[in-house]
Amino acid sequence: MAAVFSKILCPIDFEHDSMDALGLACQLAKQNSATVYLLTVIGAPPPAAAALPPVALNPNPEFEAACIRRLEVIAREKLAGASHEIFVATGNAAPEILNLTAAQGIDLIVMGTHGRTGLKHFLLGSVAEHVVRQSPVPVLTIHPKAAG
Amino acid sequence: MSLPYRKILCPVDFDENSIAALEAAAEIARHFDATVHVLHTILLVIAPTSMPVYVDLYKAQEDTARRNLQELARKHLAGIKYEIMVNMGEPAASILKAERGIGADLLVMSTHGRRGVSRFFLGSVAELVLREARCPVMTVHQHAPQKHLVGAWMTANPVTAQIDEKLSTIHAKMLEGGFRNIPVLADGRVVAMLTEGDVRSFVGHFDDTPAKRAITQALVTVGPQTPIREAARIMRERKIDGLPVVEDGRLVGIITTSDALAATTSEG
Repeated sequence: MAAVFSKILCPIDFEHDSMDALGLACQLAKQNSATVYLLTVIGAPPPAAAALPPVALNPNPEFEAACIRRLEVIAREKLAGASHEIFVATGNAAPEILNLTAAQGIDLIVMGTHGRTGLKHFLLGSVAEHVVRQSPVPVLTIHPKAAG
Repeated sequence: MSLPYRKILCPVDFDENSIAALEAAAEIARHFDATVHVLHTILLVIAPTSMPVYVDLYKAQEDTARRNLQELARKHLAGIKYEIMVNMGEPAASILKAERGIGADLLVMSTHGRRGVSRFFLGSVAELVLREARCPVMTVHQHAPQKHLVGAWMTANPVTAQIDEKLSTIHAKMLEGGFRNIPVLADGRVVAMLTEGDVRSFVGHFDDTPAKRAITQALVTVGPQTPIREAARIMRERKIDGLPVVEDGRLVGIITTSDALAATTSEG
């Protein structure tokens, strides 16, 4: 039987939810001999700053390098040998996740339901909601309650 | 949330989105040798708690749903272990109850029903389930049915009446659901649309009049792919309020003048 999924994208925001998602992505990847794509999106300024005149969000090479290093550590510790690729993007999380999905031919996205923003326990993460709504490929979401 | 998945719950609604979800569930089930639990929820439109609940009224609908599920399973779950479940009530609650009940370790569902797209961001059902489910939820997106087509606006799986059914029970169904039209079935196929007016003309004789005696309208049907404008034109020309939506000879929904109005007044 051919593998169900071969390219699994797991957005990482360095919080617990995304680590749970990563665990599941990793299991699925091994089961399917798939590659895990780790993506961190360096975000826009917090909403409080929205009152300021908009600034173009330029990629900051230092930030990006730091994120890549963190992702490499995570990959080493959590992926336990599963094949993986690392990506860092700058911008809004949901569109960047969808961009990478299209660009890399991702066939499954695995993510936590709570993003970095939003009222925990109450709202579906806005990033997760956006991705679930827009993604052309299946999205596997994990609720923090489900994490065992 | 541990692998491999053994019990996959897949709620379906007999529309193309659900079929995409069912196919995704089938692929995963094949891979893990899992059982797919296919669930359909019949929406109960009973409101006041003081009213007696005529669950029997929904028996016909339940049977139809069960048959449709069998057919779907035969088509899309060939060679896979599956179980069929029909629940009644509110869809999100029913899905969550089934999830806990069977101890599902994966839920696969579409992000919206036919009507959800235009009115909510995510299907309201999908959103509730995403928020409350204990197991991982895989949402499968299929491009929304095109908004100028009947499929995007119809009510899927309408409440139906049988050709020999007495007007008394039909009238009760219509009152409960607030329907002005109810499709009438014979041998599983839609044969007529019975209107409020048809029923009302037999006031006082509900108990001894079967549906077939009250039918006045010639049957006109449309398909989910019929443009909504065309459906609206048919209803205006024939001065009727609702049309059965039929696909492959099977009743899949009902489209009414209110739906047509909703379609023409929706933005974007």
